[in-house]
Amino acid sequence: MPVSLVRIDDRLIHGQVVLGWARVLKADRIVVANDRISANEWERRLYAASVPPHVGVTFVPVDGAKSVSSEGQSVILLFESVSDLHDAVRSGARFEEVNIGGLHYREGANEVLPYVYLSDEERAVLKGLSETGVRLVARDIPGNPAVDLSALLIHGGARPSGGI
Amino acid sequence: MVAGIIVTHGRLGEELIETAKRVYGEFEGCFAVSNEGKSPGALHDEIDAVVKSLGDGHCVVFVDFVGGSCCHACTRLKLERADIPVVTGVNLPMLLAFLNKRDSVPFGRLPEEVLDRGVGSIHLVDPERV
Repeated sequence: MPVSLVRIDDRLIHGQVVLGWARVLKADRIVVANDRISANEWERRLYAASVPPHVGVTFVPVDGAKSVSSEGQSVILLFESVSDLHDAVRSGARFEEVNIGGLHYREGANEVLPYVYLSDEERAVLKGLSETGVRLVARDIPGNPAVDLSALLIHGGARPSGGI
Repeated sequence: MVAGIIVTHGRLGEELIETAKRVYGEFEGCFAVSNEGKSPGALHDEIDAVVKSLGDGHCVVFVDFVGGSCCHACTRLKLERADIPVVTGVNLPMLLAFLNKRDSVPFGRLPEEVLDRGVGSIHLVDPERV
C-alpha cells in the first residue's frame, strides 16, 4: 500500500508536519529518508523529539525509501531536498504524488511560491519526474490551497529563472 | 546587561517585545528572530549572527514551542554553545520577569527564575481563590 503523504520539506519534522499533516492524516508513523540523519544518533534524537508520543518515527537512508510501505497504517514519508527524492526514485522508489511543502531561499534558487524556491537543476529534476507521471503538488499545510506544481513547471507558469 | 533573543513562528517574538514595552516601559537588548520563510540553515545563521553581535555578553534564548523549527534551530545552537540557556514556551510574564531580573539576579540562576515565573503564571482562573 502506498504511504499517505510523500513530502519534500527542508525542515523535515516540524510544526506544519506534526500539527498540520500528521493530525489531519491521523498519521501512525513518520519516516524520514535522509542519509545524514539516519547515520547520526544525535540527529535522530533531535528530530524524534519533535514527534508526539502517539506517532512513531523511523529513519532510513535515502535508498531505503523504496522499501517503505504503509502496512495498513497512515505513514508520512519525508525528504529534505529534491535531490534526495531524485536519488530515491533512481534507487527504485515509485510515488504517485509528491507534496512540495517547503524549500526555502538558498543561493541560486528562485521563487516559485513563497515557500518554494527552486534552482534550475531542481526544476529540471521535478519536470522530469512530472513527465513520468508523478503528480507534484505544492501545499504547506492541509488548510491552504494545493498548487499544481507540475503544470506550473511544464507550462512555464512559474517565474522564469534568473529574473523577476 | 543580559540580552534576550526570542525565536518564534510569525511575528510573535516581535510582538512580545512590543507588548512588553507597553507594560514595562522602554528597554533595549531584546531581539526577535522569526522562522518565516527561512530554511533551517538560514534560521540558524540569523540566530548565530545575533549571538555573535553580543560579543562576550551573556544572553538567554527564548523559543515558542518544543517541536517546531525554531526549537530545532535553538537545540543546534545549544549543542554549539552550551553556555547559552535556551528556554521554551516563552510567554509575556516570562519575558517581563526576564526584564525585571536580568540586572539583579546572577546569570547562573536567571534562566531558572525566569522559567519559574513563566510556568507559575499559568492558572485556571477561579473567582473563589483570588
